[in-house]
Amino acid sequence: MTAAGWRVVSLDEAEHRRGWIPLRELLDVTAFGVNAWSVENAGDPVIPAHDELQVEHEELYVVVRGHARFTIADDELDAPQGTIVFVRDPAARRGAVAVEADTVVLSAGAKPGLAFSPSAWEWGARAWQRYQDGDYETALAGFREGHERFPSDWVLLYNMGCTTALLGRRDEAMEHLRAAYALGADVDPLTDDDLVSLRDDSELVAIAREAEARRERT
Amino acid sequence: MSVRPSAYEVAHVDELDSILVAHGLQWRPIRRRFDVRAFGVNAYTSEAVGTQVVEEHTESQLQHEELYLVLRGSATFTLDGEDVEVPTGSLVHISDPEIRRVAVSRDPDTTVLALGGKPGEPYEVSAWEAMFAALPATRRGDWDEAIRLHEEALEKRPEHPALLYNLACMEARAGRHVDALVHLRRSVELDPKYAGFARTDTDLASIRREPGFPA
Repeated sequence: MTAAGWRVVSLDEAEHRRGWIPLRELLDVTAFGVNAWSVENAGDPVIPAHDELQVEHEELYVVVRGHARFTIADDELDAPQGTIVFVRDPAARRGAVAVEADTVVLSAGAKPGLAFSPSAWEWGARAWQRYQDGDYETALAGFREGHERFPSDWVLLYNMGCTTALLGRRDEAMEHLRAAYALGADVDPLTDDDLVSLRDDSELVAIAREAEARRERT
Repeated sequence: MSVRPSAYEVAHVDELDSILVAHGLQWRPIRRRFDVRAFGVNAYTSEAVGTQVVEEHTESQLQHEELYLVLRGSATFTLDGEDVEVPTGSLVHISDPEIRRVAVSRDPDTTVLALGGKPGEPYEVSAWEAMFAALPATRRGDWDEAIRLHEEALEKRPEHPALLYNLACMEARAGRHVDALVHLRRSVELDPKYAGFARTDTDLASIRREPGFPA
């Protein structure tokens, strides 16, 4: 139900994208980040393991339905329905697995002291859905749209490199990958299955060696 | 279960403080408990079916965008006069701060989570938090504690007229008449509407005949 200035949505009826319910985008929330995550089976990851070092968000999770087990840094937390988990430290690696079927977790986040704006992650996540469908051209267009808005985000560029490699466009892929590593990409391209067609390519090998040398230096 | 390491904190909604605000509405402070600094977040529980679970208000003063999630039970939200039944697991997003909103519980123990912030600006802690937090101390006549909570909030918002006015009320009740007059006068300087409130406020009865009382 909706009217000028307000809208009501059910988490069950909202658009689900492989478990991601993109509430911020669907409702056009502009003051903070907010999403929900839904899984069908016990044992499924409901919050993928991640940190918030790139965007430095504080995050708050609420178990809306079901039961989850959070892992934060090295600690495991039992989180039945109604549990609120606040992660202050952006460096703390956090994730959650469903303990019960049909578990739903709401997440909210923003950076203290800064006006909220949507992060590059959202553009990447939307394009990632298309990537998982095997629709690499649409995925590439999504990553590119994100890159145009967030030109210093290496993840979007790296994923542009992966999708163009999957589309068989070697030179374009190398261009994106070079740009991603110039921005500090810290993944090993030689172990990425998306780049298997380029694994013996001397230019990719050189990029990988340079990236490894940089990691060792830091 | 409630641990407080520095990197993260966790609590069940039933473990949060429960402070009766008005009309059967229980405030369950989340932002204040965890010291969330990036956005506003609280939960509310209604004392009984048919009592408020979201206080009637607009956001015209703070200009906050709000998102409510019915975490338990169900509620009837009234948005600018239009009633909407909202079951568990549904959200109400209110982008327009001028919309008058209120919610009444339809089930026992209905609990609503509220998130808020002002688009385009860094989040600032709202002054009403300290006033709500001081309610238990005020009710038991612990004026020193009520004053401490207001002074703590005023350290961050020293020119907030409502906080200054409330502080003056607590100080008048505590017999600290000079402090009460100073803070009341400053409140009225910042917002003259507080002079009108002061004329009839019983909290200020002990200083109303003092010289310098803003009439």
